[in-house]
Amino acid sequence: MLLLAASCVFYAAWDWRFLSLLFFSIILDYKCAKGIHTASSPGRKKLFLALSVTGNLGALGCFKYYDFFVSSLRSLLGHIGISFSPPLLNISIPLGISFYTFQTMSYTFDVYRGLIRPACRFSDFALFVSFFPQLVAGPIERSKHLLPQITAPRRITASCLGEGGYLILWGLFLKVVAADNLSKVVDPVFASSPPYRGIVALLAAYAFTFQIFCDFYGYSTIARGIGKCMGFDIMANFRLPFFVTNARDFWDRWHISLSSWVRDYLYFPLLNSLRKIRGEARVYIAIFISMLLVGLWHGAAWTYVLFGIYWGVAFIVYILLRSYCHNWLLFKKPFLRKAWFCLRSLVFFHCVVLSMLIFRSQSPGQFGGMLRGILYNFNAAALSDNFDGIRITAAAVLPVLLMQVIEFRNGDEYAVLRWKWWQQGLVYFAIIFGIVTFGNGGNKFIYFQF
Amino acid sequence: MLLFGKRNIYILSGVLFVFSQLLCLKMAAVTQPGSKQVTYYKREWCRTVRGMKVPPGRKLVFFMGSSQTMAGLVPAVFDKENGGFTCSYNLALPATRLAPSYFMLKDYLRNNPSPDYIIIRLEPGGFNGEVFSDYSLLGAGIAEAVQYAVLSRDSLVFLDYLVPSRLFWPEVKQYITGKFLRLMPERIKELYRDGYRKRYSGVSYPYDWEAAYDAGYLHPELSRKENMAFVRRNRGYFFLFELSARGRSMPEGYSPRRIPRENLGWDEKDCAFLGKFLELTLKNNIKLILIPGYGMKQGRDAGDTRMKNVPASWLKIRAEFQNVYFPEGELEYKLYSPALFSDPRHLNYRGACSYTRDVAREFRNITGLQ
Repeated sequence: MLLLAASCVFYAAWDWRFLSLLFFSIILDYKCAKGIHTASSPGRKKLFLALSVTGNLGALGCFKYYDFFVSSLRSLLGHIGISFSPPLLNISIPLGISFYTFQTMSYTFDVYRGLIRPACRFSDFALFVSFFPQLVAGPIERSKHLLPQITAPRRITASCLGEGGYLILWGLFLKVVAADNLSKVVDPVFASSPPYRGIVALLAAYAFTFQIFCDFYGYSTIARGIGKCMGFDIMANFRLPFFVTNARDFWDRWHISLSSWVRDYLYFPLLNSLRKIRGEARVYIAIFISMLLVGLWHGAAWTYVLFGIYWGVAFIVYILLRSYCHNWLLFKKPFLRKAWFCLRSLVFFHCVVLSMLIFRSQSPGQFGGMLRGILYNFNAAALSDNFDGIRITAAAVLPVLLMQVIEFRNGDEYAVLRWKWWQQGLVYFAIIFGIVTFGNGGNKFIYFQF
Repeated sequence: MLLFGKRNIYILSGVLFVFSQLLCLKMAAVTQPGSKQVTYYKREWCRTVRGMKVPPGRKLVFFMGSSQTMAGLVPAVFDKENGGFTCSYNLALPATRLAPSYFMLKDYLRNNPSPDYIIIRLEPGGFNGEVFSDYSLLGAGIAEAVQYAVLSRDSLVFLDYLVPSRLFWPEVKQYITGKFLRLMPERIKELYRDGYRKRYSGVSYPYDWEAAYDAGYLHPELSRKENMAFVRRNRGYFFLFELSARGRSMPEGYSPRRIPRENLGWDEKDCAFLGKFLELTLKNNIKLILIPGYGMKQGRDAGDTRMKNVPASWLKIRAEFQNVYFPEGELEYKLYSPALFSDPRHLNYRGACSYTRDVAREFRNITGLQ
């Protein structure tokens, strides 16, 4: 109850009025899940499920997507000479609505599929949805994973506190040192108007790729750290996403909670429902729709639609190529294997950078302008004019990459905590020194807007 | 080794952190520019001076404001111009506005009799965010830093104050890069020279960076006592920017680039310290004399409106505070030729003497002291 109260206060601190929306979602899914569980016929189960999905997506659509779709439709109809002007809502998007809506929906789906029993106590379920460390920017927890932890008694050990403290510090470093300093390089470029110089646009794209990673990974890490300190194990949302060579692996490691949600609750059901379509086509369609939803989940803008399409196409291209290239260039020597992996990772990293350029652009037009700049107006000589940007990017990215390499080599997120005490002490000192000296707070987490 | 078990890690990181901060302080003490040291020592003077003695029959006058006042008003010349009726001190601080001046005056008044007059150059638009620059935090007390953080709604201001590695990072960086190149202390002078060379390599006038180091800055290699003696001897006047232009003056015909500034009025919400400063002077029966600033003749045209709205603001202030005075009638920027400037914004010693004489004349007109 104390945690539930704390979570409510935490959410109300942003805007107490939207607390009612959060509780609407909680009550709806709590009741629907109970209804599904006790329903005597499949028809009634489906009815409760439909009620939950309609209610949740209705709220999401109303608060997040209504204005976008209406204004897009108005503009489209305007082009063909039809006047259409329904009122716009112009309301701010409730904090974390996409996160908690998907989380509550996953609970109802799991109850419908019989994977879990509904929560006995309302307060347990309310805490599952509103648990403050991950309420506003994820990870989108699964009821199977978090709900049993809420209902079971928890043990807070010294090891939990040690790991939690480490995660909180490292998350803070990622946010206030890396992400916030990178925003100084990124924001002015995306706020400027065309023509864009290629080298500047490319630097901003690189910087933003790391900024969004550090920002979101930082938040998730802090959330996990706080959870650990309270005896909860919150799922990891990122797992070395830059050490991959294809779209599928990337989405297995980037925003894991969303990609796995989409896989389990959209992609697989879609595959199932498209079984009448023969061959690989149904896989492509299911992937494309799923990735489009991933894009749209981030927000109501054409750049996010484009982002989803980009990744849908990237996935399909990967599947098409996979069958042809699976035994292509298999090196026997370990060094050559590693070098080949590094090269492929580097090439794929640029695909990620391109997608992030789409993601961050204010409009598809800006993305087009920047891409044109990179391709046709690169002007490498201008590199010297952007020395500060390069310096900030390098200084912010290097420690993050170093830690990622350490994790990758050891295959352990807590590799640092296995080191000798004095080595750990040095790492802690470096992190704390970095936070207090170069910490540049004041910027909101990017994912708060979603 | 496991004397304290797991706690060793936290103890080690804590000790290293404290040590690093002390090291940063030490590095900053070596490489910080003279202008920062001036701020420290002037503020320390205000805090430590006790029972200020003024020769009988003389009026105690303080000059307050920014670096232009610091480089523009010479106490010795001012007193001489006033026929020995005054005893003046230049308490203006570089790169800061009114807020630190308010706290300096408060510190001074704690242990000393009130000055009779304060001559201050007030600028419109000087009370926005830049008030709380790193210079404002130099030598500040905790309460002062908290007020800056609250007023600027930025808790990082307070963190800057608390953590030396934040506040002095440019100096620390300079020290570290210098240290890699050659051992201290011979390297100090070269660090300064390198700094000047870099800073002024793109200016459109010939800059004498070689001479700048020896030009009257406080010297980091001197002890605190020696530097404080320097502050007392000059009564706060510094040739801070002397010799920055080769030949100690800007080339004749130099035309500074004018940056159009928004002519902001006094907004009490933004200027939290203006009201406090005025109240403090009123409460302590100090007469406050507002003076216009100075600029370079060249390139000045009717479009430069920096002074246009100030008199109205001054009138507004005087309507509320009867201890505020300013020159009646002609109220304008004092304009001087480039030869009297040591850089585009600051007067050299000759220029400072001219400006001081002009200000002294206005001071006599206002006060009637002869």
